[in-house]
Amino acid sequence: MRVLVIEDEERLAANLVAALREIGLAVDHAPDGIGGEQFAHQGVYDVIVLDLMLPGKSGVEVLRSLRQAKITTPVLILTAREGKGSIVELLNTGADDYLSKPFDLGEVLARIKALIRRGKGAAHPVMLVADVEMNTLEQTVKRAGQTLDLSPTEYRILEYFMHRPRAVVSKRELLEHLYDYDWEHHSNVIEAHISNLRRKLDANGAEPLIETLRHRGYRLREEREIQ
Amino acid sequence: MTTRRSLTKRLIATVLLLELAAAAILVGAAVVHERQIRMAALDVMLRGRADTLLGAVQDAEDEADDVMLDRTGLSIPRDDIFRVTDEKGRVLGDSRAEETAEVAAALPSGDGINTMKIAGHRYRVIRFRGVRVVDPGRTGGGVAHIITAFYGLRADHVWHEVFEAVRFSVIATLGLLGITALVMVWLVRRGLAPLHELASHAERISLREGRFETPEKAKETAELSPLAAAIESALARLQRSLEQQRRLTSDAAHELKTDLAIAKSSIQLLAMRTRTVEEYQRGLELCMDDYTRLEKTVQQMLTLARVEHGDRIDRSTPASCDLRTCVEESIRQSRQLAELRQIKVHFGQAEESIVPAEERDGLLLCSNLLLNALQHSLPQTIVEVGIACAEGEVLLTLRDRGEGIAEEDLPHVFEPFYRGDPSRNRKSGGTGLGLAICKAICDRAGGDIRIANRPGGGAEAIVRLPRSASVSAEDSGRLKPAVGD
Repeated sequence: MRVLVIEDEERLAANLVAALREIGLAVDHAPDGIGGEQFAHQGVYDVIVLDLMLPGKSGVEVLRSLRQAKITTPVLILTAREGKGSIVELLNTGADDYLSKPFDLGEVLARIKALIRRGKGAAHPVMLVADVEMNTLEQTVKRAGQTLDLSPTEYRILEYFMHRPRAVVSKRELLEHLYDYDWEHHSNVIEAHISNLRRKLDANGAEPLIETLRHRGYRLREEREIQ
Repeated sequence: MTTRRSLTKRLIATVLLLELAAAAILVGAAVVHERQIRMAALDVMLRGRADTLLGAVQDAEDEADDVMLDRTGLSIPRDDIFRVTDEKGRVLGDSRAEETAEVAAALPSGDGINTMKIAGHRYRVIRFRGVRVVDPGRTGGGVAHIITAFYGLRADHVWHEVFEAVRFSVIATLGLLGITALVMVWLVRRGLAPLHELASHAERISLREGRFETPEKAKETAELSPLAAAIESALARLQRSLEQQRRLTSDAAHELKTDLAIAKSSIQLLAMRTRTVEEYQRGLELCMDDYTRLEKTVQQMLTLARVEHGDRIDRSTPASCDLRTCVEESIRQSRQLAELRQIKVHFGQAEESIVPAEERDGLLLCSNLLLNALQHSLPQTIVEVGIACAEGEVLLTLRDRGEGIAEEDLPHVFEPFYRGDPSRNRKSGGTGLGLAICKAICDRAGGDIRIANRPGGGAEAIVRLPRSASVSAEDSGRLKPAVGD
């Protein structure tokens, strides 16, 4: 999952980015409204963390332009402003959630995870697809009751598939959503990770879960198709 | 509680008093006039009666050819008094002997009409003389008798009649006065209605809304429109300063919350998982930096509050410091930063410049301005600091060579937390309060500060402070440029 942090306060942004990366998210950072808007318009983010007081372009303006461009990425607003009025205005403009500064870092992370889940249509932190059970809080994966030992990248790839069962996911999409600009990424890296993931998932001779669709990408199969 | 004077009451009382005086004069004039007329009429009657009396003096038909008063056909009212005497002093006839004697004694000699008081009554008495000739047909022309007489009419009723005649006008005037008073009370109330309306509008002023609509009536009233305008402008000023306070509070809250958010998140990030000793050390350093920043912001806020609103009890012993030593000290303190940024600070010769500010404030002013200049200077440039003393004032100037200040930011640089270029504000390490503190210090000392861009790049800060009397400052008569070259 990939997060965009638009925050002009360098130290705060650094802390946020570091924390988000620690929970296994790909993070891009924009220090001002204009750059942040450009990033956001690419539509590759699963959640956007937006500060309100930004140089160049205010957070509200960025939000409005995103919603006008039909970009529905969930947006979490960080604000130091007081008052219910501005919060109502923000939510009406299209914000999905907000947190007042000074916030609790754990709360920010939890809300970001919740926004990602809800953005993908899953309300519960434990997801079930076929006989795979993924706990996004503990970051553990079980197949048929058996706990699997996945690397962080493998986990992230599987998480992305779990959010989009039966949908065809291209390599490009995976790259866009799993890596930020700070990473050097090549499509064969993805292939290597998927190959490892398949090996671990199908270790006990189970049905192959991830199928390859030539020139189109990958797909996570649902239970019905397996049986 | 002091009794309040009512304009309405005073106005009404004044007008009523004037009216009353006018009425009194009018009534007095009417009385005098009426009396005059009545008296004239009385006198005419008096003369008529006197003539009749004289006409009644007849030939007595006796040897001595005397005259007598023939009372037949003479009807004299009971109240009238008269006496007729001939030249020999013989009384030919009188009304009541006692009274007439009294009158005769009191009556001044000579003909004419007099007013006198007899037996408790006021009389109008005429004294006259006539000649009566007995047997004028006889040879020798007959005997001439000189008749002296007086006749008096009671005049008491004249006054009575005068008052009767005037009474109506007096009552009418008083009635009119009463009606005018009532009408005036109503009119004055009505006339003052715009004032009451203005007052009730002013009563409803709420600082939260800060709106004051002058009622139309008050706007149209010449006497009230300046008051209304004054209320409006006072409210606007109050509103502005309140707005400033509100913004300052909200900006301060924003600043503190941001600093707190950073400090808190740094610690929470560090605590997310177990880390290596090196990671902890690095994290703690960052936390320390964040807290230092927070501390600095709080410190600056407190300084601003102290300078802006600090108690002014020590006015009796005015604070003073030497601006020159403040500049020297601030240059000493910022030497490291200047060296780091490869900037030279030039401070020309200056005389002792005592200004009415506390020493810490003077130092704060100089070091804030100098740090500002150093931060915005390009490397390998020169910051020029100069002090010039003129009659009664000290001029401190700081000139740097840097990017200067954006034109649109110039009017706002002294506003607390003003973020001209927000992305730069925090990176430069400033809290956004430095210049606001400088301005507050200058204001408190009774001086001013301005910042302008220099031709050729860079900015110039000019501080003007009143010069305090000092033992060694007696020779400062003219402006002495203190900046080198």
